[in-house]
Amino acid sequence: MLLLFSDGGFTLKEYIIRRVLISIPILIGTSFLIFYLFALLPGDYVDSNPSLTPQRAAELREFYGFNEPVIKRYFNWIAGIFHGDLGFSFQYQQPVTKVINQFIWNSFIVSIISLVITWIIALITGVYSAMKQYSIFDSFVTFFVFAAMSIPSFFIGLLLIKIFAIDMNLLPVGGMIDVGSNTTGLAHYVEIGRHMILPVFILVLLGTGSLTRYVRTSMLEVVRQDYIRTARAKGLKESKIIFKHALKNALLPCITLLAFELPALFSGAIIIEQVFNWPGIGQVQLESLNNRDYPVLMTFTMFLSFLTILGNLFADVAYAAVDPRIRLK
Amino acid sequence: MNSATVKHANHGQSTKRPSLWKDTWKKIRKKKLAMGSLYFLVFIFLFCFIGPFLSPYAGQSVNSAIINQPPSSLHWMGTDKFGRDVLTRLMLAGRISLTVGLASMVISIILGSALGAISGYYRGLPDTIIMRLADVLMSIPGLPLLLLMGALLSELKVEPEYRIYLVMLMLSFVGWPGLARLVRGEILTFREQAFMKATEVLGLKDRRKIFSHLLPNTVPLLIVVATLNVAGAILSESALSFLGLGVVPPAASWGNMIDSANSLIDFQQRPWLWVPPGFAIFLTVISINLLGDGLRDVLDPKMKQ
Amino acid sequence: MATPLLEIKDLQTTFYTEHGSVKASNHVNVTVNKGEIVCLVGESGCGKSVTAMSIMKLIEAPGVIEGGQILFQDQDILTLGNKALRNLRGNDIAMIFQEPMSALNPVYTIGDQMMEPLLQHTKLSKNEAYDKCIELMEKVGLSRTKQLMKSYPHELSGGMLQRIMIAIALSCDPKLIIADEPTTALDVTIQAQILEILKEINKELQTSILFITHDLGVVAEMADRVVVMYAGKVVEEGTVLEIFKEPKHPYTKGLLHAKPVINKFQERLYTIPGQVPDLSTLGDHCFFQDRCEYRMDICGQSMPALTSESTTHCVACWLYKEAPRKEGLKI
Repeated sequence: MLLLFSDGGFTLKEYIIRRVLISIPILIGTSFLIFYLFALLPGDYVDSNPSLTPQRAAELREFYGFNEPVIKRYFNWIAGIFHGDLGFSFQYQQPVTKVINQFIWNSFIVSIISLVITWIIALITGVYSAMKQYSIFDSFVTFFVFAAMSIPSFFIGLLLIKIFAIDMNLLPVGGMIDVGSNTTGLAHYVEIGRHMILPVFILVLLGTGSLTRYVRTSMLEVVRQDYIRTARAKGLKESKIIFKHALKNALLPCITLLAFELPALFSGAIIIEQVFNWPGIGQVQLESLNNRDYPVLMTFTMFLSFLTILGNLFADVAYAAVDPRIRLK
Repeated sequence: MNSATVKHANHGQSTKRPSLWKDTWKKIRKKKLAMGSLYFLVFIFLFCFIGPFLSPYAGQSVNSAIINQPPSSLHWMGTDKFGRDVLTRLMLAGRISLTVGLASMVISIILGSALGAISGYYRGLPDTIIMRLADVLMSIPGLPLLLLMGALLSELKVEPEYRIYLVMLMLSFVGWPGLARLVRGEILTFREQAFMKATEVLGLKDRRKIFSHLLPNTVPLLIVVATLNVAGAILSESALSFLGLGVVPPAASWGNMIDSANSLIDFQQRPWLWVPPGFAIFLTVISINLLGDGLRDVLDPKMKQ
Repeated sequence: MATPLLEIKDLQTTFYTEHGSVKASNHVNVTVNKGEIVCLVGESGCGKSVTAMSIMKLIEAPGVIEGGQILFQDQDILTLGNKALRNLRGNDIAMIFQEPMSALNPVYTIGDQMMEPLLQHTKLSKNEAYDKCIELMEKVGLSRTKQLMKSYPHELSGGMLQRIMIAIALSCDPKLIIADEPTTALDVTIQAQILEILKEINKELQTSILFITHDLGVVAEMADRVVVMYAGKVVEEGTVLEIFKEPKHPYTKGLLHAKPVINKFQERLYTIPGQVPDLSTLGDHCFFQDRCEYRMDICGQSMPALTSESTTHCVACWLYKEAPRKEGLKI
């Protein structure tokens, strides 16, 4: 009867260890699948350079180790990762880590700003429209959510560039700074800021849709619960009922989503960067693809998968930390 | 929770299955937004599949005399750089976009529900293998994975007409793991219920147990997920094609029609080339999403994504 | 004569659903006197809980309280503003719910949730509130109280949680406790303990209790007076002796008949034929008529009013009245 002291669950520490152990085989499987997919690609960087003599090409292949069997190359690659050697970009003639480091922060700045704005907007509108279920505001939000979920990102990007940058000439067409610009200090940041307006706006637009819906549904689910009725019966203020009793429960599943955002912070919005010509890691991915600069692409894809697995891990651990019921399972 | 599972259980008997469809239809008819979306989708289908027969122009006929004309009474949406009628091409592109979306959904559903059912039914080793595979696939971000596969198709120099089918396969490859997880979850709960114990007593074969008793119970869930899956597949296909890695010319899809915006002069001065397909995608996808939401309300109000 | 603490007068609570409007509380009158335990009895879906929730104005959409009065110490609760209402809830009137497992918030500790009404309604400091909680827990028979204060709801059993709920209900010395099937979800042995605690509270503190149940065994154990509800209406009301010794309404008789009696061999347990009618499609007739073995013609034509049989015993049944004047009716 005394469930309290015969608790069959795990402590948080045990839970984390168990969860980390589960992630390891997934990580290995992922790395192999990624490597194998790249190995399937018939062309390589040497092929895509027609100026090389066959002899030189063969030498280069030998040099880069393209002739070895897949399994061997896989282990070489993994061994390299453990030594901090993530490969060499043929295209940039630099170590991959350097290339990634050079572009990833341009993507990160856009992603993090969009993320913060998205969450603020989604939390406020989600909670508010759940509180006012069936109101005009709620119907409007619901419709907006579906619209946001259904717009192709590249199309809305093009449309906004056409309207705001070309027809109205209010905002820059793309890039991170104006062509030939050499502003410094504050003016430089303002310039970058102006270039970020449209991409950030679109990322926020696309992100708020599903997140608002999630918050709203979660909130509606929670306010139906018995413990909310108990809180009311205690004579608590409505604001306390919503913000103390309902919101914490409603946010639990959302924490999971926040952890899932981790890879998105670094992945670079490939399509949006392409449309806005933003010099971020998303552009690098496309370029590497076109130039068969596979070490960059492979390393980066692996990095994102690693972040995804890490994000899942964080999500589960965060959930277990705030919701004591989870650990029991 | 319980009432929902009991409801599913009722649909389990195969004799009752037609009533699920009838029941769904009866309820969905009352939902204005979902019905409006359904009518609009029917219109889009007729537009794409019947429309070209009514058009005086052939989608692929090149006419250098009438290139890049703005919309007029002859060519309602203008013409492109080969003098092809944009409206006709929009219809033909729609055929491909819709087909790719639907077909990749069907393949994902088949793969996902079969693997999910096997996983949930047999548990043990098959479950471990399938679910770890799903975990691995879900750990690789979707768009880079699709890009990579798109590049693979380009490297292998696949003919454009076969490429469409491979794009469908690619989208399903990315889509099945989520579905398999959902189906597995459902199967695990149904497995424990009384009507499954009954099949145990009757000594039915595993295959029959899975396909005639377990999977039909997941139908309401699958209908909803399938609908939303089509929307997702159409969006992914359009993005891939826009980047030149999905459906490639001369085959037209809504995504690769927007690709013309990559040419500066078309983008700036000939919006009739890329704006209509953009709205076609948007309107189609929003209708599918609204219909899916209506179905979700009707089939299982408690279900969430 | 006892002084009334709570008087529900002509309460009408209706739920507007897709399938029409459901009159869950249909012109209900109930009185609870000071220091008294009143049991509200009926099958599930007969409007007991809705009536109880209406007292605290806890009815949520699509439900609406459409009319009537709920006088608590001669003040109409239904006309109170939000602030005055909050001062009443958890303070003068406290409530205990059916499902202890879900009635507490899973993400806050027991202590946190126990202290809430004290901090809301009294001027106690946090430390004083903590001490008061420990004291309350001991009162409802819980031990290892300090550990319990730190634990989360899912770590406790249903019986323990219901004791916590009772402790929370008691915390601000309420004048009335509304207990909505507080023992239904619990094991029989735990049930008896919970009932015992509630009875003690009633004796010791003179707290009135409105006890909602479908279990006649519990009624016999607890009640001073009994109100029987059927399909949103009160059909019979009387002291516990009157109801058990001389039930009048065929429905009450049926309920008593359907109850297993210890030491008496029954071939088969009696059940009232039929089921509670769909509350959204009721006409102007006795709602029990289609299940009633004493059905008369008039039962299908007109609704019997609740009329007194003695000072304490009322019943709403045509068997006990003269038929209304015939001119208005086609018989």
